[in-house]
Amino acid sequence: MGLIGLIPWAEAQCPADDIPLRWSPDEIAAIRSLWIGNLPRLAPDPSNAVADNPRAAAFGHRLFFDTRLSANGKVACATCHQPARYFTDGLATSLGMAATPRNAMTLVGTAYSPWFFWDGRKDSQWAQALAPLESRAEHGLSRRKLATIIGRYYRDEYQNLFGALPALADSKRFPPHADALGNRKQRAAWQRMAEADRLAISRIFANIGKAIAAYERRIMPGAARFDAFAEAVINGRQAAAANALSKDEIVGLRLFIGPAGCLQCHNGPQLSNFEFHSTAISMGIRDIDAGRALGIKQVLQDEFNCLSRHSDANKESECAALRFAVRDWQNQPSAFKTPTLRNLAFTAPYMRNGQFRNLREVLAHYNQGGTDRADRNELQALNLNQRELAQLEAFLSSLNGALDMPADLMLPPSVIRTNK
Amino acid sequence: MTHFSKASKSAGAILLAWLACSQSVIAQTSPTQQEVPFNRVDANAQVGERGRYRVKVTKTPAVIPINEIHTWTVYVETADSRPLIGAKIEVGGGMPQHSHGLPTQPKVVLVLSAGVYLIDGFKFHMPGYWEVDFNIDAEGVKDKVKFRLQLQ
Repeated sequence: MGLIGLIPWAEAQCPADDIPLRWSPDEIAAIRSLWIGNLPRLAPDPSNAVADNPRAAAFGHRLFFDTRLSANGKVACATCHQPARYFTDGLATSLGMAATPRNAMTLVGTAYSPWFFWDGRKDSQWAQALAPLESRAEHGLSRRKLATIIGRYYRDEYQNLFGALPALADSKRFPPHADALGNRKQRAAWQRMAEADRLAISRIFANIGKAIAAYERRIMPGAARFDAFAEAVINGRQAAAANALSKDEIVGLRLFIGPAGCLQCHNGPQLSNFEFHSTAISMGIRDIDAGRALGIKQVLQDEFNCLSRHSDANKESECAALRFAVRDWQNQPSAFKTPTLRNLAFTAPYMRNGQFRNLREVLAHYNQGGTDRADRNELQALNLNQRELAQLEAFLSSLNGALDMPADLMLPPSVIRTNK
Repeated sequence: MTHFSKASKSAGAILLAWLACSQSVIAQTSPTQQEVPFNRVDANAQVGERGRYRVKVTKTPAVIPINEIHTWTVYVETADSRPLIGAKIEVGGGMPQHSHGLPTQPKVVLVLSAGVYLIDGFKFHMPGYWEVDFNIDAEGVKDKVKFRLQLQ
């Protein structure tokens, strides 16, 4: 307790009454760590050779909005990842061809994440983009059918990037109904195909994911009011800092980087460590979700992971996230990936099952330390009062900002060219 | 990805200042942490709990980063100061106050010279108090050498 005497400036800080605009070196370091200007230049994705190819991004942009990439012609990536909602859908759990069990995560800034989906069952943007296409509840396609759709509508774009498509019209070699995930007859047709032909179809599938990822890599968070504040604090411009945020927002920030402990998981310029934590989100026995414990098994076995034949990475020196992944999560059930806290105003409802309609409900959950369940729970009760919770919520509102991406990429492509 | 300055003990003072202002504070420090250097690994050799082996971390990034996979170089020697050759090293540890382990499974990727091992795959995804355990096994003789880290 004698420590308090070492730091004279700290003694008089009772922010409920007076908002001190002086920040300690540690606080400035914490503020800088959250500042968007601290976002590093995006590293290449070695697993995707076309990740930074503008033609691939343009192709991916068209694929992203194209509902023809679905069994009923009504579902596109943009159905659940709507630009106006910061690439979420506003639903508790998403609806494609049918209901899905999870909330659609935002795509904003995900190029920086080593893991995808709430449980991290994919390890790249391109591998993630593939799963909904083949999911019966989402796009409901087979990769064989997708190859036909690409050959029909996108032959030139595809071949310019990835080389010649195989002779898909040969229905003996490439039965149109072949589907590894389909009914018995469809599965048998897939199994009867030559291994090289199955591989050729899977390669087209992987390439489609890589083009979509080249588009998704452009979806980045822009500066928010907090970032103007952070820049002012870092540069010692106190007056500008005081104008950038309200008093409640500043007190909320102090709680966030201090006693509320939010920074433990919500760190870095996207306010996420992109790792997995148990925060007692499962509600009741009918809503058990293994989370990372299952996701790690799936990503290690994924035929499109960074170490797979479809990845362009050097398997010896790259793919570090997968090579050094913790494999045993059995003792930590229901761990889910930390989401970004930027732009929360646009991405409600919250959590992997969308159980919280607004930030007040989210903060109430954290304040009580989660629900009392047998699950491993990393939370500890915060016991903040109502005013402090409102101030934390006010701070979170300062993290809303415009997206940092070309405006035309937020809109559906105006012309869809057809090659018949 | 993130940059944290070399920290001082004032984090504790901020907490205490808050204690004076508010009843609603969660304790995040423990007495043992205050001896631990911030954002770097103790340069001194640490002795195993059975006294069989000593480990010295000879190279890490100057500031241990948060959320970045990186390497450590370690030198392992026996109690009589000979380099330990052919050791099997398993890395464990975590955040005891959060009841979780490391977010990655670091592994020895190269033996650089006698007793010198390059370990890749370290990652710390949260600020706070961490422990890193080197579980060493050489021809059945086992020991566990612990390092403590305080990240900010």
